[in-house]
Amino acid sequence: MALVALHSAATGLSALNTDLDVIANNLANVNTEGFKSSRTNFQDLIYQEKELPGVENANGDERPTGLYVGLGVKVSGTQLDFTQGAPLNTGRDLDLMIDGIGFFQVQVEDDRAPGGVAYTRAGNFTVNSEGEIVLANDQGRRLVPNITVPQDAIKLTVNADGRVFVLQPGQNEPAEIGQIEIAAFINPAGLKQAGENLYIETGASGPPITGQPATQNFGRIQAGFLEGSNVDPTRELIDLIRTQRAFEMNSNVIRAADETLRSVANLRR
Amino acid sequence: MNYGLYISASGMSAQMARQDVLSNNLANVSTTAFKPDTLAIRQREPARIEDGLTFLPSNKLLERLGAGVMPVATRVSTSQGALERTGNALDVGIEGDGFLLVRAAPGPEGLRVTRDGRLTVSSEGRLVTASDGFPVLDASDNPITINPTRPLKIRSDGAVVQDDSEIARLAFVAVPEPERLVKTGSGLMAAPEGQTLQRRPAAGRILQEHLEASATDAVKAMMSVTSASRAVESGATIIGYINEMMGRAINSLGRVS
Repeated sequence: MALVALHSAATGLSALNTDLDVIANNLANVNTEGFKSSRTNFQDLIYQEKELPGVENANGDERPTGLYVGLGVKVSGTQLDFTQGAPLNTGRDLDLMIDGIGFFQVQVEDDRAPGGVAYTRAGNFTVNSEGEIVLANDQGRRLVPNITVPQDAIKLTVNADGRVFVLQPGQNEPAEIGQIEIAAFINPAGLKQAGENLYIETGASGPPITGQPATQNFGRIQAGFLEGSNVDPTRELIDLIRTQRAFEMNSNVIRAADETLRSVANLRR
Repeated sequence: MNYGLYISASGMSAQMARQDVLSNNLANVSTTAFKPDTLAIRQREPARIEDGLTFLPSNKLLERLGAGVMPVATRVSTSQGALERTGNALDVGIEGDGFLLVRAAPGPEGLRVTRDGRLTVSSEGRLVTASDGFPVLDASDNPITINPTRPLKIRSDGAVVQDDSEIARLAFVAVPEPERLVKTGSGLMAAPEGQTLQRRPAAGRILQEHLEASATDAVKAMMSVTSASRAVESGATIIGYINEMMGRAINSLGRVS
C-alpha cells in the first residue's frame, strides 16, 4: 500500500539529508590545508518479495519474473577521497607538503589513538618554545619521531627525503638534526576522521607502514608548500543542486502518497 | 452485483503498488548504478477463466469486462545511467552491457553481480566493494589482491594493471535476461531463486575514474507517482458513486410510501 511509498520517500529524505551535511562540510573546508573531501555512498535497501518467480499457474505455466517492491535507500557510508590537493606556495621553511602517498605522524593523547599517534596531510609545522617541531595549530601536536631544533639555528631546511638540516652560527655546512618519517596505510579510506585535520588508525585502515619520504613508494617532501584542500567547489555545488532537487522530489512523493492514503481513508463517508 | 466496486478496488491497489515501486526508484535517484524497477500491470481474467473452470455460471456481459487489473511482476530496467567522472582510481563505471562479479557469501549461491563500481582496498589488500566490503572477483572467481601503494590502472576489458604488468583481470560478465535478476539490496543482484548465475563475456566496457549514476528518470518517475495518486483518487470516487447508488437502491427503491 501507499505506506511503503511513504516510508521509501522518508528513507530518501533522510539519506539525502546526510548527503547535504557531507557536502556542506566539504564546502566549509574548501580552504582547509590537507583536507580530503568525503562523498556519501548510497545503496538500495532490501526488497519485499510479494510474488515468487517460478510459481505455476492453473495452466502449468511458470511465472517468469517475481514481484519485488524495494523499500528505499540508505547511506552505506562516507568515502574519503585521497587525491592530491593543489600545492600552495607559502615559502615558509616548515610548511611541508607530501607529494604522493603518506601522512605526517603527530603525537596525540594516548586514549585518542592507538599508540598516541595520529596522522595528517596538513604540514603547517612550526617550532614551540622548547624547539620541538609541532603542528601550527591551537593544540601544538608534536611531530613523531620528534625533532628538536637548536635554539641558535639560523636557517632550517627540509629536503625531499625528509632529512632536516640547520645552519648554526660559525659553521659553513648545515648539520643534520633529524629525519621526518611518514606513514602509509593499505586502505587510507578506512581511517577515522578526528577533526583538527587528523586521521586515526582503525581496523579497516590496517596498521601504519612507516618509512622515509621519497623511498620505496612514499611521497616526496616539498618544503615551502602546503597541500590545499582537494575539494572541488564546482563538483560540490552541482552535487548540492542535485541533492536539493532529489530532496524536493522525495518530499513530493510523500505528498502524493499522502493523497493516495487520504483517498483510501475517505472511501467510506 | 457490485462488480464495478471490485474492479475499482483492484485498480486502486494496483496503482498503489505502482506508487510503491516508483517511490523506491525515486528514493534511489542518487544511488550509484541503481536500475529502476518497472511494475507490470495486466488485465485480470474473470474468475471463471482464471481458475480454469468450465461450468461456473456467470454473466457473459460481465465476463467480457474482465476483472480489473493486477500487478504481476517487477522487472529490472537495463537502461544505462549517466557516466560521471570522479577522478578516483578505484571507481569504475560500466558502459553498455556487463556486470562486475562480487562474492557476498561462500559457494555458487553467494555470487552476485553489480554495476556499482565503487571499489576500495580492504586492510588485507583485497579489492572490495566500498559499501559492504565484499570481494570483487577475477575471471576465475578468486578475490583480487593489489599493492595499494602503487598506482592502479583498470583497462576497459577489466585488466588490473600495476607497474605496467597485468596483475589480475576483473570478471566482467553479462547474464542472459538481466531484467530477471533479483535485487538483494546494496546494489547487488542475484540469479532468480533456484537458478545458478549463467554468465558469458560482456560486450560493454569498463571506464576507470567514472561511476554510473542512477538510471532513474526522475521527471518521469515523479509524474508517474503523481498520476498514480490521481488514479487512486478516481478509483475512490467511482467507489463513492457505487456506494451512493447502492444506498439509493436500498433506501429509496425499496421504500413503500
